Amino acid sequence: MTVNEKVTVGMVDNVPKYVIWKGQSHTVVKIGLHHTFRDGKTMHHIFSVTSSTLFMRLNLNSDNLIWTLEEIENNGF
Amino acid sequence: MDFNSKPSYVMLMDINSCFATIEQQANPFLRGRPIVVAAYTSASGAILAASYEAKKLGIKTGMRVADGKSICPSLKILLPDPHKYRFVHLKLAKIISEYTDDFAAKSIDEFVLNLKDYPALKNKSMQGVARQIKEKIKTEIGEWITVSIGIAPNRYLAKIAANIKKPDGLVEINKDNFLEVYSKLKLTDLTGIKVGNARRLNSMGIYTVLDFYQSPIWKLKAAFHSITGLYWHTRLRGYEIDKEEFKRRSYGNSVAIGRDVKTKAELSPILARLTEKTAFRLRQADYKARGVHLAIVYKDGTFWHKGGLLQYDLESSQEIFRVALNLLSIASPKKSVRNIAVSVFSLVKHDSYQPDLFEKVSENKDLTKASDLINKKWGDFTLHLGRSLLSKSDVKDRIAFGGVKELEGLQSRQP
Repeated sequence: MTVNEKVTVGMVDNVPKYVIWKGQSHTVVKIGLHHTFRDGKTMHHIFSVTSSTLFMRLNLNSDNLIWTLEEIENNGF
Repeated sequence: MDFNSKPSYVMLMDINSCFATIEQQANPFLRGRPIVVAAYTSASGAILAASYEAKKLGIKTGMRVADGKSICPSLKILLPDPHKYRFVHLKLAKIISEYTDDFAAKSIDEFVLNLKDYPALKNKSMQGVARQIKEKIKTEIGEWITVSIGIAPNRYLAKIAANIKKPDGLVEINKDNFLEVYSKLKLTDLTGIKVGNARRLNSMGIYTVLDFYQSPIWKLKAAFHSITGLYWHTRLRGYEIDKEEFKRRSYGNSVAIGRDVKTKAELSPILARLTEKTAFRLRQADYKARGVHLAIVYKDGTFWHKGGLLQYDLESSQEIFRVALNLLSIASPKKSVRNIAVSVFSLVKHDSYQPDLFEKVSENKDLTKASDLINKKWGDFTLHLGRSLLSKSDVKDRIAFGGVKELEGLQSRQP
């Protein structure tokens, strides 16, 4: 499901550890993939992560350091 | 001619079910489940990649989403994420470059490398290097990503070897085992031999790969009616004839249109967008072009195409679009269009370019340069032709099938 909402992300050693979305904290259990791409000069870091029940796609815009929760999926189809 | 007795120095690796595997790497909840990456999620969307779990159920690349769903109603359909696939491609290229600089990307998911005389083979066999690369892929890219690796004295047999065991294969074809390997393959298991070529071979009494290998050159030339027969004779004996890299002769972009579009007015924004992409790539590679070609495939399966050569060189998006639009007027489509493709040809490198005394000087040279700089800084299509405004959802970022041309310059556009 596409979300595209600003979130707060806690990082330890450059790795997301928790995501706060709609006032609720989700602990990151696993990082599936961390990839990057450029949109013009702006570098985007995309973290595909899971909590115990959710898949989340997080985007860190390295220009303004804003985290966006782009997508969210339940564990399951 | 006997089979090449030299050691195998060529390695070919391909990422298994590339797009689907990368998606399963990114989202661990998708692992072990039937998923596909499709051009569109709608029923008629073409499946671009199927996970191994989906393949086991009979779902294949090229099928429609509706067909996949009829086999497996719970099939997960994902849209392509080209940034993700290019990123993995570049990471794999980086790992390979630690072993050799004699390597080439054959497509987004396939690399061929030669390790002859490289230090990597000082303390390790080819198979040892292959196993180490597989390990590095797991630790540096992702534990779910697997590659099939083929090793052989030439590129062609390395490809055949890589195809033998999927996923996660490691197979070598060499002077000691080629007869055993050939005896287990069908003619159509060979890359480049489909039904038509198999029929040609059958007509000369060649029914198996061993027959193919043992056939004299005259027989193969007769089967293919050309020198191709000699190429096959050489290839199957492990000698290299497929190393030649062809020079670029054109740049082009195409799109499969997901909605009902039939008039020139509806098609021109899409054409403008495609032209901008093509023209930008042309300029980034430091070329100008003298020819423009337009091709249209209609939904009823009919096809129209036309190319035109000009008296002067083109480089700006506006100039190329103007010519393409003229071609579209000639086509004057009145029925639904499935695909539209624009390309430029007759390329001239800027550094070898000699202006004609009476040639028409590009009107917008400085504007084009400035707009390219802005787009590089602020992102693709920040500045674009007004005409292309309505086409954004039709022309998405995609990775070409099999082609490697679009990967040129990828390194410079990535972090």
